Amino acid sequence: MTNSHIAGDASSKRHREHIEQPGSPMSTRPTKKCSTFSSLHVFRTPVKSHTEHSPSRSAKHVLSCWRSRLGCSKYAASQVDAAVPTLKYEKLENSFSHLKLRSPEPIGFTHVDATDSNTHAIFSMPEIVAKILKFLDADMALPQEIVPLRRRPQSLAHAVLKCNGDTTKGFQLWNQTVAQLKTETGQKSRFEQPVSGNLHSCMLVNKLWHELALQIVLEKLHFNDHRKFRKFLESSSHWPRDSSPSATKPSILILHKLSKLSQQDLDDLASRVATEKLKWFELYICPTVALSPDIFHISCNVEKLILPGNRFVSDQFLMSIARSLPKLKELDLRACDEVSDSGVVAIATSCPQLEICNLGRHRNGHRITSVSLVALARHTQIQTVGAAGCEITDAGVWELAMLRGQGITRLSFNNCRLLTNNSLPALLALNYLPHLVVMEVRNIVNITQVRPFIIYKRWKKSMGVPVLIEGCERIELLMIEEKGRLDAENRARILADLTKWVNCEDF
Amino acid sequence: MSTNEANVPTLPQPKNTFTIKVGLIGDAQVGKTSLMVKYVENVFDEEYTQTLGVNCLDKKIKLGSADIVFYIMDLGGQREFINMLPLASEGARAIIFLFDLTRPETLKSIKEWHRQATGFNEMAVPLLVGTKYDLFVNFDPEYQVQVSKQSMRYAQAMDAPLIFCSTSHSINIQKIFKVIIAKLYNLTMRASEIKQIGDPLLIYKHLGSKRRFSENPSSRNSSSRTPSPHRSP
Repeated sequence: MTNSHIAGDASSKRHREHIEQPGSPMSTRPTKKCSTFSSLHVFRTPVKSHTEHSPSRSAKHVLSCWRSRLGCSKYAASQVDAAVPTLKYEKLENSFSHLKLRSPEPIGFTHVDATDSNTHAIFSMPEIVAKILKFLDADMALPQEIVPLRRRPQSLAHAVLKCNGDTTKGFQLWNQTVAQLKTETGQKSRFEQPVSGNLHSCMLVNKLWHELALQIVLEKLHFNDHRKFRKFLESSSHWPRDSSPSATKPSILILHKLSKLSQQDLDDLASRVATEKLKWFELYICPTVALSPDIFHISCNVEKLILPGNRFVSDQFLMSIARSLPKLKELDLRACDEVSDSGVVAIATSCPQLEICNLGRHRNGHRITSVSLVALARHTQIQTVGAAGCEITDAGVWELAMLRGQGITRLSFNNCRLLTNNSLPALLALNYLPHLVVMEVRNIVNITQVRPFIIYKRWKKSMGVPVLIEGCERIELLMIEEKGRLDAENRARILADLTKWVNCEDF
Repeated sequence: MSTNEANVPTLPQPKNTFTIKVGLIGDAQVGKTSLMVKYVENVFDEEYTQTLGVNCLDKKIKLGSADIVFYIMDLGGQREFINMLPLASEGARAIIFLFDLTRPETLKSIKEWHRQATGFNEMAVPLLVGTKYDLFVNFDPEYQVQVSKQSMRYAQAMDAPLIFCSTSHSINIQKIFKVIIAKLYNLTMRASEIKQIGDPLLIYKHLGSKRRFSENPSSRNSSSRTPSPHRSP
């Protein structure tokens, strides 16, 4: 026993044969063996004759997952683990009694069935298994950019300012930032590693489970690893094509940072996957592939289109797909330098439900002007605008505030060099953007008037709504100075009022 | 939230609210609860109700730029409530020591009350307040002189403004709280002092202005949510 445990796969196979000897009564098998057996992952590759035992591991996972959702903390995972073999059959039945399922007929292990003779009948009912597997899917993390709570400080002095002048905290923050920047050469540290595998393990249980789990897996296709993506393409080559009803129709398709992605791969994917149900399409920093507009022509359900850092996204592309995106809510075109006003106008005029639009860039800022801003304001339900590094003007921002002022919640205007005090400071002072909660105004040289920012922040704070204003070192410093002045003024006013009250006539 | 009504919206400026805790301390039946109720609700009840433990009421004063809330705590005068003294005195910005002008022994007890209360809170501004002036004024002049002089000596020793008041006749009630504010924030109060024995005394200009200890205005500001006072020397 212990030998096989240590020696790994080869001996465990022998061990498996040993315990699988026909005629050996299940009840005599010690439970401990079973659990060790299952923990060795021998069923990584499914072997048909042994499928009867395989659920033990996956089932344990699923069960405990399910249990926790149902709130049955009473049943510890170990109990569940032990419950699967026949030995603890009654126990399992008891634990499920509150679910009011039909009572399964006791099946002897001499009975040979296509379904599992050894586990609870619940695991051979497709509807129930599908439900359970869906829960697993909910836990699955998609490869996502982690949005930092606050932007990084630009310098040590800036870090100190961000910590409200607390030097030690500022030092800490700056050191953290430097450390982060160093580790980020590996690029992926800033991004969450998706936890997959649970569903994939379930696919290895038996035919039924494979079928059900595969359906769920194909609902959401996401890859952040080039190797896995290629494997998927290889294995999917024999799948039914577009036209057939059983074709793969994912609702989510994410290719996350596949820098080596080739045009051929993408075209293969497009030919194998039907896009009519697609809701979320993401090509996160895959700069070297051009998307075919056809992907979107069949579908009219896309709500989220994330294409940052793609140099083939052009005005022509946007114009050709705009009409196919009537339900678009979120559009991310960060660092898509080729896009100009005409592309954005095309999107704005045909996507009335658009709420989030990010056009931030470092290059070709002159291609996005107030025209884009005004188009978004006029035709969409825009709430969040990212126009970092674009050449938008005060007039454009005013138009946006006039038309969408009540809806605007987040604005990023970093490096918008044309903006002046007549833009955000004036708009906030007049309270034309009453629901703004995040505002980024880094490196805007012409903004010198920050008093409205402070007053606005205080007003929101008094209502329990925190407001984040990200400024560069200069603006943060201005804000701190202005805060001091405002405090002094308030204090003087309060003291004057108090003196007046103290000296007024008694009644 | 006036954005929708007005044509040209402006940014609303939130009003600050400053809470100032005031403790009322003194012997039983000197009129602590009466004073509090009179000040907060402007009513006077002849009937005596013993305070069991601690009473508290708050009074909001609306100013243009801020609201001031007097959070007044009144401690039962019976000896058995002495263990609740921290409740009334800790964190208080001002402590009003009350005595009954018609009962000299209540003035004597102030010594002990003061000693105990400052043990818990030495930063609070103390005030010495004589109550029931309306009855006191009918006593014979010699008694009035004696009690007035005695109370002045006490006030001097405690460095506390001295005020004679009458709750039933509304004499000097408002003044008490104005003196508190004036002393807390070192404001110039122009009301003239009343020093003539036999009149309801109001002596405050040179009392209670001393800084009791060196304090950090910012920490005080955060702890009691009040504007840090400009105390020019």
